[in-house]
Amino acid sequence: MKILKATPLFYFILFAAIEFLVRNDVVSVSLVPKPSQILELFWQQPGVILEPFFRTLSLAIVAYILSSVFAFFLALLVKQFSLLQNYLMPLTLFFQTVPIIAVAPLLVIYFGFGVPSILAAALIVCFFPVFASTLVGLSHVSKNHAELFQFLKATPWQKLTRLEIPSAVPYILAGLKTSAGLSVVGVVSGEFLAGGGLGALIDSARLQQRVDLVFASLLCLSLIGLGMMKLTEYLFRLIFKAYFAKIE
Amino acid sequence: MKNKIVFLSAAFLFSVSTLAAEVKTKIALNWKAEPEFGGFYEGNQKGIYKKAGFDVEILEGGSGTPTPQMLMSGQVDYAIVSSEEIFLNNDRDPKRKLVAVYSVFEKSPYMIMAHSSQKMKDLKEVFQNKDMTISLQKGLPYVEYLTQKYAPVKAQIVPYTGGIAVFEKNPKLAQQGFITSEFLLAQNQKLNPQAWLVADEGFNPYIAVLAVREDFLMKNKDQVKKMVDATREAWLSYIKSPEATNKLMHEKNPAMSAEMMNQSLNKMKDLMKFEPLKIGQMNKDRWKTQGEQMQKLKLITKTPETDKFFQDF
Repeated sequence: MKILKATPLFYFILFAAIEFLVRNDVVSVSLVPKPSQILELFWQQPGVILEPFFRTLSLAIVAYILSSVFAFFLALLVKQFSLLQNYLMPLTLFFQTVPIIAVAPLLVIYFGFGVPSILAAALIVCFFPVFASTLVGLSHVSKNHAELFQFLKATPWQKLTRLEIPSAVPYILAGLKTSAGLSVVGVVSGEFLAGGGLGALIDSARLQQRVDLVFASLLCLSLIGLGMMKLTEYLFRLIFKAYFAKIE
Repeated sequence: MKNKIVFLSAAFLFSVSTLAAEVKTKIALNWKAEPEFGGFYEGNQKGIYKKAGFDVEILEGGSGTPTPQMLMSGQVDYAIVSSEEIFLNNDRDPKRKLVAVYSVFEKSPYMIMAHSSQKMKDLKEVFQNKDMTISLQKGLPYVEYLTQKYAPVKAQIVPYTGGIAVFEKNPKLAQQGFITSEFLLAQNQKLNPQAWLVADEGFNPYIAVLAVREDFLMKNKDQVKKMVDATREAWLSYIKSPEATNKLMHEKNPAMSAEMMNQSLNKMKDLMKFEPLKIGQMNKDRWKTQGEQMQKLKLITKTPETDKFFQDF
């Protein structure tokens, strides 16, 4: 609790220090903006930020849900058919390591400007954590439990839904939380080249040396990421409380 | 023996003193090794900078290399920027002004190209045709200029993705670029491009400008003059016989063929006619006009003191 109270204070001191340094010209205002400048921007021209904010937010949510659902089911499939694992693992690794800035221009050529390319960029970036952590989680079943299920002659379906998935829950949650932040990164990288949202705003603000606008956008992005992470955690607890109650 | 020691120490002292006399410095580029920087590479290649007392390290850039900020923060003393960047920079932080000292281009190479098959009469038609798509990097001053000049823009504006891949795919797409680069690429791929120079549309910034910090210039005027003189000499030498430097630049940037480098330099020559000024020198009225344009576009907030934004040597 004490820590929680100290957090706003910490950020207040941090921002005050930045304000002080920039005001006194220790750091150039064109390299780091004054925090007051950003507040002023939000206050005086909220539309400049809010419109792209909501566009990026909605795309990040869509990309996040799509990629998580897809990654989860693909992990289930791969777990059931080990042959598939041999085929798909190199491909998923390829997607995990591909630098999104290098392929984003190609995505625009494949899918055109706008939403499809942005979603594709986000899917590539945030697919892997959920896939990998689900796969690891499904295999991390306690030996005693597995023997019990075998002894009771549980069907594969029962084994999957009552043993493997519940054991994987903490892993999946960790994957989902990583993926929440990455979906924002993916959407913004897509927007840099396919247009719209905070990505395009950052790109043009950068060209006009408007660091205040760049930092204001970055703040919004971290808010989106943080919000999605917290919401995931909350929903997860809510859903899995019911799930656990049911199997007990 | 004694003589030998005296001789050796004299030789040592001499070499140390000559080393100390050489100024170690860096020039930061905002793009990869290409003919638009040919003169700078030539300066090193042919020892012109060395002769002038410099040990120059050329830092290659890439997409979005923030050369104005690198200059301002003191990471480098010399960097390539554009005059638009100088306006923006000096408006945002008047205490850390940048000053242009040499311009590679007299006329800006910015252009918009469309497919000849679309039979566009002029740029106005491109911007006001609702069937056209134009790939532009929003936020660039000349893009702002063109979209305001040709308002109401009926063509669909999409982001600029670099290169000419989307141009190749879509005949109804026009795009921004350099007449010395993207236009030539399109021509070589037999895409039949038709180009309009942005300079001919009334917006003509200085491009590939060697710039320094104002405070650095004040303290090191002699050094900067030497640098500019050497750079000028290097450019003249490069234009005369570019082969060796083009070969070197091709090794550094294999994506651009040596043939393409030659074509690019030939195109550049049309945009490097500085007479009656010396090559690299800039015109006072041009700076003033640009300042007015930047202000009219609301890209800068204060009236710029353009006389302090450049210095001819």
